Amino acid sequence: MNETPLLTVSGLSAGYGAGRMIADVSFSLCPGEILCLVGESGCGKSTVLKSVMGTTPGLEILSGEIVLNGQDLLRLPPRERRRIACDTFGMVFQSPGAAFNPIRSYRKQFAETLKSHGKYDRETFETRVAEAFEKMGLADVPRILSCCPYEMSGGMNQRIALALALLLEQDILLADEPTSALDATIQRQVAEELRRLRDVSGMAQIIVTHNLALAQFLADRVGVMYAGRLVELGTPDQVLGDPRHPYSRALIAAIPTLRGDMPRGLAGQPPLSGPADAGCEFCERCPVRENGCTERPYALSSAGGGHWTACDRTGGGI
Amino acid sequence: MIILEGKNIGKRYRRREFSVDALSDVSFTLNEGEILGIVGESGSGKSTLLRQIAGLEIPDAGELLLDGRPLPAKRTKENYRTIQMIFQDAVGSFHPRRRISDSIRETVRNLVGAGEEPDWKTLCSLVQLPLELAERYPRDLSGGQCQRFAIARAMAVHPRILLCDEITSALDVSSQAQILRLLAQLHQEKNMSVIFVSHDLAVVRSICDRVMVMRNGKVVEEGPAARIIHAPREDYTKQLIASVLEVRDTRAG
Repeated sequence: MNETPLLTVSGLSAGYGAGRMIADVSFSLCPGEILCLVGESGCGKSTVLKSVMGTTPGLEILSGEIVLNGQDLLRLPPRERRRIACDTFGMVFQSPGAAFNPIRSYRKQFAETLKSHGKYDRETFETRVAEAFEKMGLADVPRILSCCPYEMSGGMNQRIALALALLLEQDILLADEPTSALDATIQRQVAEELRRLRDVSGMAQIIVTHNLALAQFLADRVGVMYAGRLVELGTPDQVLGDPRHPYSRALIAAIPTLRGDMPRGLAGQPPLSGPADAGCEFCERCPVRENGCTERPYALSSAGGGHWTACDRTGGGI
Repeated sequence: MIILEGKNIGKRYRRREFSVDALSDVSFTLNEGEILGIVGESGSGKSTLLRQIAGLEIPDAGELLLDGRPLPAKRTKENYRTIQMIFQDAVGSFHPRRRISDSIRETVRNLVGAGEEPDWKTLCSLVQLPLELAERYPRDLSGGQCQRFAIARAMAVHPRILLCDEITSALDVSSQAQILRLLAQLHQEKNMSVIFVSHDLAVVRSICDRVMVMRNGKVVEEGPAARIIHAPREDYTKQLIASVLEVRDTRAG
């Protein structure tokens, strides 16, 4: 894609208190592009999302830049940054109910949210909601609007949250594990809806997931994270179809398939201490590590065609 | 040999004027040393069935036979020891303010004997975790580690049947693969009979011998895992399989 990026994150390091959770994270996002961040639990995927959003208390950005439409968000006063973030970023959470008050009707909550974004108009409210619902394939608008979130299934709540994101006309959707609380058939529906959201509104998306199949289904680009660093970045065909980093290969080997092979496990856990100052964080679990791995500084190198990897050692049965 | 059999099990949940048939006329068999998978969407009755088998609830109709003898509505300690259940929320299945080892010890003392001490060395090597992790609190462990301790707790009382309710759904792919391998190994080494409930067909395919598909509290289809996945007979099963998202390996074409 040769378009000017909407969002460019470069050299981002952030953490809670003294601990660094992510380091040197750099990527860009073009309008209408879907970027999926994948990796095990505790690899810093959500921290990247929260750093971009910038509304998580206690999360400190230690260095780097987050440039949105040519403006570095980190140089803005907090109030201004929050205003821009709220206008630009929509969020969808893992727990389908988390976006709504469970015992307040969708109608009231939609109106409130639109008002707080200065986009409420009483005359056109219902028709606009109906339009958004129709675009997301939801029928029976009046009934849904008069329901409360506790009356809806998880999948339905997640789809309504996406319709709200569409209504707010934000540029970028940040989604944290949007499908992992749902069962397989509903997961597929929500995945299709995320794609539809992009197609009808051109909304760019950053989706955090540990489901590699979802990333393959949705993403224009996939970033693999390990211990707070981006270790591989490229199109789904590059990263998931022809993975270079030993960690990406190990992750893919761990997915069960309908063929029925026993998935190959990846022993151990990602380090909880976050990124190290020197050396590859994965080397303790890596089947192809060499002596130099503990000292080699982190750097992404090109594997051609927009495919970047921090390591391309092969062998070791993965 | 059939170890567990369910005959025409029914369960209805009532709430004032509203009632739901969570299970109707469900029959199944579990052979000794077999892994039976149960798949279906949320609300299909998979977990309800496991709760009836585990004795956490009493079915409204039908009967459960263990070794051909009916299981009593009020289960004995021996029944509980024989059939152990593992839950989706591993961290939540342990007492949050007790060390993991205390929780496991309590289960053993309740179900095996008052003065009994779990065989820590064997248990920890069984679930491939270092002994000292058992001295931690659930919140200080990862979801995958907690789930392995939950398996250790179930194994500590030497059950004959393990009921697994979505035990890998909350875990990431690498922890999931570790748990699946562990379960396959237990099944092989101890000839354990397992009922494995999951909404993930690929997971079920990787470890189950036989699969039962459920929908709205009824059994839709049942058969060998490979047959169900590759040659499903019912439309519903076909739909379930079609909705599975898979990672394509472009290198293999």
